[in-house]
Amino acid sequence: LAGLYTDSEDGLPTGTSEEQAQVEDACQRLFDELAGPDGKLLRESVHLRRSDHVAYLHAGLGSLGEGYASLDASRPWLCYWIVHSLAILSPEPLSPSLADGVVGFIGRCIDPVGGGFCGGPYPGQSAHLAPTYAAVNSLVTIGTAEAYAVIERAQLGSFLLRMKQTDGSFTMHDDGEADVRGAYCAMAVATLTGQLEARLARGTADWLLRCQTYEGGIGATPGEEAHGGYTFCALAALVLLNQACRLRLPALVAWLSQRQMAHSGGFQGRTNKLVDSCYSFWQGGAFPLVHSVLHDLGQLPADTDLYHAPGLLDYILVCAQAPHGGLRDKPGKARDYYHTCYSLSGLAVAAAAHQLAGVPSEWVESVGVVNPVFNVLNARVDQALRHF
Amino acid sequence: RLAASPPPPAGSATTDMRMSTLTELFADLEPIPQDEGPEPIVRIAYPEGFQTVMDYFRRVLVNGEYSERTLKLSGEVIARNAANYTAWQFRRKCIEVLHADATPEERQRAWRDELEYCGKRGLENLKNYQVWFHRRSCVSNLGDGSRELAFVEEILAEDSKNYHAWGYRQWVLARFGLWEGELDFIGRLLREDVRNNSAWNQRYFVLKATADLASPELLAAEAEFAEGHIELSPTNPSPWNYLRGLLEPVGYDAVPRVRAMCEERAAAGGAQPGSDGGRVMAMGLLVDVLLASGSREELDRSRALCKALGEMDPIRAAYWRWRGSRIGV
Repeated sequence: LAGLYTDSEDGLPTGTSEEQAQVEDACQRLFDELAGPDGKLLRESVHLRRSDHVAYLHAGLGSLGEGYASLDASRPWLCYWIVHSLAILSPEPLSPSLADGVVGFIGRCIDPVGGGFCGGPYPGQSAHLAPTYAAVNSLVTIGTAEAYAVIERAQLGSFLLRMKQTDGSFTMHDDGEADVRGAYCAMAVATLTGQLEARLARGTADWLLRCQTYEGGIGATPGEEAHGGYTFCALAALVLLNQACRLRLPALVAWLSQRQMAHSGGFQGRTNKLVDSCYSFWQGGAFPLVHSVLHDLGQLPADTDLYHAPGLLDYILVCAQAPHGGLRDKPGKARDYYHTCYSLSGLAVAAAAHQLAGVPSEWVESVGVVNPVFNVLNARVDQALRHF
Repeated sequence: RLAASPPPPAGSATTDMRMSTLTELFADLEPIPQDEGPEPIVRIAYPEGFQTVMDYFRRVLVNGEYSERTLKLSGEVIARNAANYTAWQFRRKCIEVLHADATPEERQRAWRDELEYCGKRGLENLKNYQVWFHRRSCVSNLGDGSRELAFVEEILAEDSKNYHAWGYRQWVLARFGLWEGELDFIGRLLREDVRNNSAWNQRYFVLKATADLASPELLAAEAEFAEGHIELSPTNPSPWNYLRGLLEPVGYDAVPRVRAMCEERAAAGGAQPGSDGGRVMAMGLLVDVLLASGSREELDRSRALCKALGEMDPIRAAYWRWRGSRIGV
């Protein structure tokens, strides 16, 4: 995809440009292996290795190696990353026994005293908005009556309210840090369980808007650097609050667009940082959100993309797929469930783009339709909203 | 990263207590095993000792014991999983409970010890939310941020764009008003790497807090600063974004030389083999500059620039097409 313009060192190599060059070389090697005689990527020879990924995902759902001890306070995340990835790749739902296992485990992570979900079974850990979001998303993805029954709405609601601060932000847990992730997790969970009410929403949009920077993207808290993860969280939260139109939208779109890498097609998280497959969703997934806002304002036709979906798909399929299943940040990094989830989520978003010329149908057919606000299968979101 | 990063190799934690010491210390308590239920999923193969420590931690949580020995235990939990936010929260509670009736000096001493503990853990776990939040708590309780800028500088020397470090630094600056010297610090970082966007963001942060961003003198000086850095590496997006961020709210005619610079670079004024001399960046900014002026010719030019950019910057073709379509609407 090299155009006439690519970032260059301009005769002044620095740490940033050296690292960038290394990554471009690694990606280029993979593209070259799959190029035809004209030097262009032969997309038809690149396959989405579904069964390898499904096998990797099922293995993780069962057990994980010692290295995952550092995620012992994020086990609902592990559930969600795996269950959501499977839902994207595979039209059949989880087997009843696996679904029972997930539902049972998530249920064990509830804080029965203060509400919310913990990073692992209770007792042992305290409630936290991130595992709460992951838990609710897992249950919604499974979508059975038993899954819904795990959620005790009022208790969950009281946890969310307790995290709410007077300035409109949300702390992640009691005596914890407050940043845009908190607002997103709270808004998403509240919406899915039908309890996004005035008390919970008050002042949050105002606080989120303060996090948009001079670059147009959004940071973790007011003043912090524009960053893909936080941009997604703030934008999605504002969409749920119906106040995304208050953002400086042209600046946001310009920043988002600038984050797609000319050389590899993937996304970087911040200006002058490296491509990372997880931003396939955090940045890639922000596009349908901003699209819907602009469309509602009459500023964007329905069938128009604002990013290069084929380029993103090239990165995911060529550079992010790991040899024996799973997906990774970039060539040279090890696969993991987080990157598997967000690469596949980005794949699902891109599969729903409008301008997919030249993309093999095999890449995008039978890929689950994802609701980009929650990053859960659309059909499951609708079902949950009806239920609650 | 929103969730914890991929796991490091096992066995990297430094632990203070031997298992035998730990079980002796808590001999009066019955540990609580983790409730995995009848159909366990996402089971982690915990390294040796991990489960023992966690089983005792579960017990002291249930008992609500905040003591010297449970403070030690929380350290053992953190050594094995620095992302265990419950353990960090527990530590803060221990310090509070243990020193509830202490003198202010004793309390200060306790928070200083805690800060030192935090510093050690920080250097091992640069990308961990909990370490940084704990540090913030310690420093808040101490009411003294005098050594914090040096600490953050140390971290940034290892990882010049560490997001937590920069966020924490912003908190320290604002909380303690330690603005003096920050622009110099930023300047040093930019001399090391003109492409460090975190440093550029910090510059905006400092000026927003300490200066008048609408002042013509400041805008002229900052535009010159940005231009100087564009000279060094014209394809570097950071100073271009900085220029746009500064001028867009007040109007590009606040600093007319910016337009002149864009015109020059957009006309392929600086292209060399392997570099477009900032042509695409300049054309992009020129689109915004011309839009603001509003005259018919300038809007037409703006539209033409978007068309050209669609060819020269093909990854953003869809974006440029849309932008062009919005001009004059």
